[in-house]
Amino acid sequence: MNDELSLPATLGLPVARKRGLAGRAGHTFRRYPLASISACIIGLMVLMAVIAPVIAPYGPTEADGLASLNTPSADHFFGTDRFGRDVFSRVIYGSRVSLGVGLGAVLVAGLLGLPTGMIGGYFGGMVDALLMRVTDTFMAIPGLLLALSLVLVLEPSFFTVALALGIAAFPGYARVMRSRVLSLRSADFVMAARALGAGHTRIMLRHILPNAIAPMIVVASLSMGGAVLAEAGLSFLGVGVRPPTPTWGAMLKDSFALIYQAPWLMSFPGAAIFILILSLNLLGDGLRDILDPRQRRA
Amino acid sequence: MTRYVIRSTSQSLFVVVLVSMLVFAIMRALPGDPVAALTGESVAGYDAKQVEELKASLGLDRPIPVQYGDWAWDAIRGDFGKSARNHLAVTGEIRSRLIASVQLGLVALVLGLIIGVAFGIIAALRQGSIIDTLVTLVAMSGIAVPTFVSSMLLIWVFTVELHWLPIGGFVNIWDDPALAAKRLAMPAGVLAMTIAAPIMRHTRSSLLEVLRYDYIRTARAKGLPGHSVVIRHALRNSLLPVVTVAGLRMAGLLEGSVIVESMFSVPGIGRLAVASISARDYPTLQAIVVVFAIITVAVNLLVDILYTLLDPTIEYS
Repeated sequence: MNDELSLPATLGLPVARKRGLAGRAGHTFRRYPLASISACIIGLMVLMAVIAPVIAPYGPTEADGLASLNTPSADHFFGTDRFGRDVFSRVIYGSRVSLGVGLGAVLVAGLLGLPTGMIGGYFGGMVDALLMRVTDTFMAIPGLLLALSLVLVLEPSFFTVALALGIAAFPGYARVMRSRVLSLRSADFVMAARALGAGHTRIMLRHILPNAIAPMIVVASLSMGGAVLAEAGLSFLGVGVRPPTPTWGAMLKDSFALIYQAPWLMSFPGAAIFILILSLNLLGDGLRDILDPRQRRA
Repeated sequence: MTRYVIRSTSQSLFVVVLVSMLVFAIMRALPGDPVAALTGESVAGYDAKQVEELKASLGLDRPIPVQYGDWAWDAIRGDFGKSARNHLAVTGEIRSRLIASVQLGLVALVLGLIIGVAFGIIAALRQGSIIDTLVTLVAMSGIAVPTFVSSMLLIWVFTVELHWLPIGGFVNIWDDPALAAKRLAMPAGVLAMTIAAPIMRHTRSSLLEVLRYDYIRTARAKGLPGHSVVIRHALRNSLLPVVTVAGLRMAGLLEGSVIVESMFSVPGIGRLAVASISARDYPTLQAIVVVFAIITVAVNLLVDILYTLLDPTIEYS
């Protein structure tokens, strides 16, 4: 027993072991193995997207007319597509669109959804009723069709797809934010802030927002999976980011037309989408358990 | 109760009106000429006077709110205008494709609910077993696999490799059940999985929660057989949240039908949506979006009301 006085120690209770960074990481990993592995996979995919030119053996649109529809080999790990483009390189570059659009959609949805939910939940009454009907409206239209209509209006590009998917996803953010704000609105610390003369803006931003952010991180992680899925769906339908930019959805679309001649083609972009979405969902589930134990689900 | 029903119904109607305004606004905001958007014809060859006349004949020279009112009034009476693709009445086209979509959707819905609830129960009763792990894994994968990827996998296995199941075409279930079953197996299976996966997870977690309640212990202590406790006491209460999830999945089912119908060449409304996108047939797309939104709102309203009827603890205020 040296310098520090510890109440549990003096009472003879078990003392929480102090852990270094590695120890804490190991602890988290043991408690939430799926979420930890998912976080690692997502991290690797982000890295892959960032350094794509370094690891991709060929350019994403580099076509070799003589090497059309090659099966996987040492030259082309995942084979080549109809135009003789290296599928391995295209899958690597495709992660840029999936992750970029997914992240963009989450940002847009957050920028729209957080204020909507915050203002609705905080002020209540007519403002709330009106804002909630607006979110209901966007929720009523199946997301893919809403995004599709918006992309048609805005002309498909990286940014418009992200914007459209964000608009389609924002009601979810607004709903969760609102319900969180409703339960915080009459909390003691908010009352105290009000009694001290804090304005509405200050209460919302400094007192309520920090306490409402944890569930929003969960929503963001889960909804990014949805955005990645929807982006792939739009590309699959031919209304996503324009070719020749490689996207996993468009690669699947091309390989569907070649399902008799080259059935292996679909497996690589298909697996990439599956792994990314599964990881995002598992991470979201894990974060929910970590950040919001009251809402724990299966 | 009546007041609650009236209020939520009027709220839903309000949302439908907002949806129609939004959809109308989107279609009017389309790049390019509104004449081209409405008729699918280019105005390039016309002089200014002819374009004005054409606009006047389509009612495009009037203020936007008047145009909306006109369109909405026609839509209420079941007239969504003419397709820009083939100049047929949009309503008639949608109606003719209703049978395929409804049959596919209902088969998928029933299949998905049965699979989801059944495996959810099994997983909950055998918590921690291999079956439980397997069910959870399948449910997680079912949520993460895009419908077009699972569709392609099925087509590759059952059509390309095994030659068991045909793709394409549609056979009415009442005309030839055996052939219809073969045609529906893959598309309905894919759509059913999108419903079954989340239902499995929610049934499992909800049943696990209910099984911990005191009244279940009481029922067991009374000496009731295990299956009776599960079916008569636990299941009833644990299926309530599942009803909501099923309602929320409706939008997903409609969304899925867009991709699945076009992949399996099912002549339904979803395939019509894809056809109208590639043909830039905005009047048809507009009508489909509104119809899908009305279905979604109606199903959720129904679930809401059903919920209050099933759960006596809910307040109607």
